[in-house]
Amino acid sequence: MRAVMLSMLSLAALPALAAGPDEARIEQLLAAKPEAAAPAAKGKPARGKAAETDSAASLVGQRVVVETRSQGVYLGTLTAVSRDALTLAIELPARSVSYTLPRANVARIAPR
Amino acid sequence: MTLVLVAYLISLVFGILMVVRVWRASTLDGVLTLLLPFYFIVALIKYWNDPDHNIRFHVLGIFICSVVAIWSASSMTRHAGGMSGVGDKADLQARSQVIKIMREQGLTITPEQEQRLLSEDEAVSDAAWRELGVRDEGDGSGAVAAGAHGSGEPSRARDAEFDNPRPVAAQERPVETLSYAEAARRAVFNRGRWTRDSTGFSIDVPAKFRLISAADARRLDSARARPEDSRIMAWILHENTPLADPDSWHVKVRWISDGWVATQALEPVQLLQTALDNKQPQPRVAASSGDLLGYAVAPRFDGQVLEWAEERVLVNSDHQVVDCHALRPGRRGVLEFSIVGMAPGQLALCQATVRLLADRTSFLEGKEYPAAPPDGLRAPYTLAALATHMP
Repeated sequence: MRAVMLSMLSLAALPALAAGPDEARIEQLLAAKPEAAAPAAKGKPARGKAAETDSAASLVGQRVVVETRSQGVYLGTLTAVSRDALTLAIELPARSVSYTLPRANVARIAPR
Repeated sequence: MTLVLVAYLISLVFGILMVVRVWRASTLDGVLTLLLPFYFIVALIKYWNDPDHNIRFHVLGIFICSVVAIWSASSMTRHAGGMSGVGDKADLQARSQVIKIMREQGLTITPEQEQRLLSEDEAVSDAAWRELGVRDEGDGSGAVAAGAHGSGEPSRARDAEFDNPRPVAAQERPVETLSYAEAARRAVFNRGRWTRDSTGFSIDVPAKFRLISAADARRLDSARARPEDSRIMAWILHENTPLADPDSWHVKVRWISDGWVATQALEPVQLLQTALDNKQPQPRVAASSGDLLGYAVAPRFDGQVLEWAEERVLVNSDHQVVDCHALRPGRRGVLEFSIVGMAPGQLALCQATVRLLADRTSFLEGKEYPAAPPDGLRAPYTLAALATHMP
């Protein structure tokens, strides 16, 4: 009897036990609101960005590689730098687009 | 099924009442009846003549319920097993079903072949099945298995997808045109482990996800007038994303059956430069109809899974989307998990989902990805070319 009860309890608990950390993370991401794709909100700048902004400003007009904190990579010509965002001109087959990256997501910027 | 469940529940109630009754007579006996599977026999004998604590009625009830449950379960099994070999009509249906499954798995079967496969003349039918490398196991279960190439050749393992790498032409598989809502309503959701023997992989679908077959996926694509994807194997959806909503996201599962794909060191910046310089991309993976802006997640290969995400700007629009990919190379092709057209703000969800599914995939024995090129078909491109869409 006890064995039957235990097996029933185990069956009921199985999905919770089977859900690994990856599945739990997906559930959290689903529950969370989508992150804003637009550049970081204007307002109070992040601390310690001033020096970084200056180094990025010296690259304006150059072709650069930008690595993001989410392990992304972008290539383009740096056209504008602000406290909150970097703007790249990216050449596409039929047109050129101006692409804005939030500074908060930039891990590294280097000339190409 | 219902009868089994009802009988089981009634026996459970009898069991609980029995323990309670014995417990009232003696706590020790109650505990032992609860813990030890057959201790109730001791309690049955011990309290046989005790009108307040005897459990004769309870044991009888459990016994009757068990008999009913076993009888019902065995009749269910008989019913399920009786599908094959009971007559020509059932046999024909079983053969039609096998043909449908083989098509779903990417085998090319022409209408003439189908006619011969379904022929009432046993000799014609057998010859047609042998031509396809499929033989009847003859165990009455209607099972089919990989067999010899031809009557004169020795029997050896055979991979249907490997022997038929050519994408199946759309006109050979007419797709019924339905409204999207109707196609969604007809879709059958699969859970648990999903195995494709001919291509040699198995996906352990996570608990909160559901899988729909290639036939259902094609119907849904057709309902939205999307071009047919000959490499599609399935769609996988989260249980909270309604299939009836045509804009809800899903994971495309595709089998790129071009053979073993060589690896090379992946240098993200170089790959991106190559991809941006490629003015006529030829994507082998599912992709949004737009131009590549950059890698939202740079390509990386850990020996098992190649993953990356592309940020794209849609054609004639400034609208940006991300396409997430996780590819699992195997011995004879690459299994692809892709989500296309996701909002950039959902990149983390997109990438985590395709990665989870790739991690939940395993190749069957002998179909795993070997580091060295195996004998047989080799793809004329490398894994890097999949991420750059080079020819």
